[in-house]
Amino acid sequence: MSTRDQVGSPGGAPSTGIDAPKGHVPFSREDQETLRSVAVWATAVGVLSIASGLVGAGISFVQEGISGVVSTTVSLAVTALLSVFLLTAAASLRKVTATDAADKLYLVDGLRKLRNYFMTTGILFIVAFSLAVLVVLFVLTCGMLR
Amino acid sequence: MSENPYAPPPQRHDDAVVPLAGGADGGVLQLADGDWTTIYSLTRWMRIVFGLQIAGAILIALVLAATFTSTSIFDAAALAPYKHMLPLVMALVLVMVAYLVVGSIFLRRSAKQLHQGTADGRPRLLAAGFRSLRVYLVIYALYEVTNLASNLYRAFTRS
Repeated sequence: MSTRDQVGSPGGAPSTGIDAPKGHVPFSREDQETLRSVAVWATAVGVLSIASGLVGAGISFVQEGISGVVSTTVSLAVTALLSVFLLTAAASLRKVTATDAADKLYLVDGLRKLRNYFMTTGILFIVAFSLAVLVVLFVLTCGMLR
Repeated sequence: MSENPYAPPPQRHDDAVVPLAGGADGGVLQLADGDWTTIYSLTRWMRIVFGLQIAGAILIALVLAATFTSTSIFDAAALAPYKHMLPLVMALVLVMVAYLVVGSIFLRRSAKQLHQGTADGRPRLLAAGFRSLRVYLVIYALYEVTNLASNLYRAFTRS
């Protein structure tokens, strides 16, 4: 019986974790399943984002021609960056369930990549909101000057 | 005295494994200070994204309200070239609002559970945080599928 099998029984409580190897996280099997499915969905979102970004970029390029190259490239680069964060986070979370010795290492690594993903998303939102506010202010100012 | 769920946990020594009294799952999770900083940063950014997504949903609702109340936008002649895309656009907007509102609620719940799970060293609460995160990811995947379908539709109707 492997260490993984000893940690938790299906639906039951995991062991105390006191005598667990260093770096091992006492997740139950149910919790491991949760982590595995989070990894699957994170991978799905990453792949779908890249696919959607590529199709959108293709359409923009066809519609706008060379003038749309800069915006399309920036948009595609941001999508690719976010997808890479999600895909690597998914890979780390998958390793938590697949290995025994370095659970903590992979868990923190996965959470760090998720942090990078949400931090980048948050910064993009803030930039987008700031630009939207600036545009609204510009339009209002132009309207008042006329 | 009410406890702040987002307050940093008390400092612990990395190698000291101390079972928590009253822990339902029995298992404990000990993290180094650096690891804790990462998770605190993650949950803080998750809450920031939650706030921004809710603000985005309100903004979209305001734009939609302004669109529907504007008579000039409802000019049939102006809408005619885009009429065939209307159901897809409406589906995209609905899924986007669902993603921004429902997804955000689960994102916030996930941030709270991940924070509390690591602060208390409870793997089961940490897993609950991942379950909430999974709901957020499922809704996000649904949004991406709709977005992809919309893009493909645009691509094929042009050709």
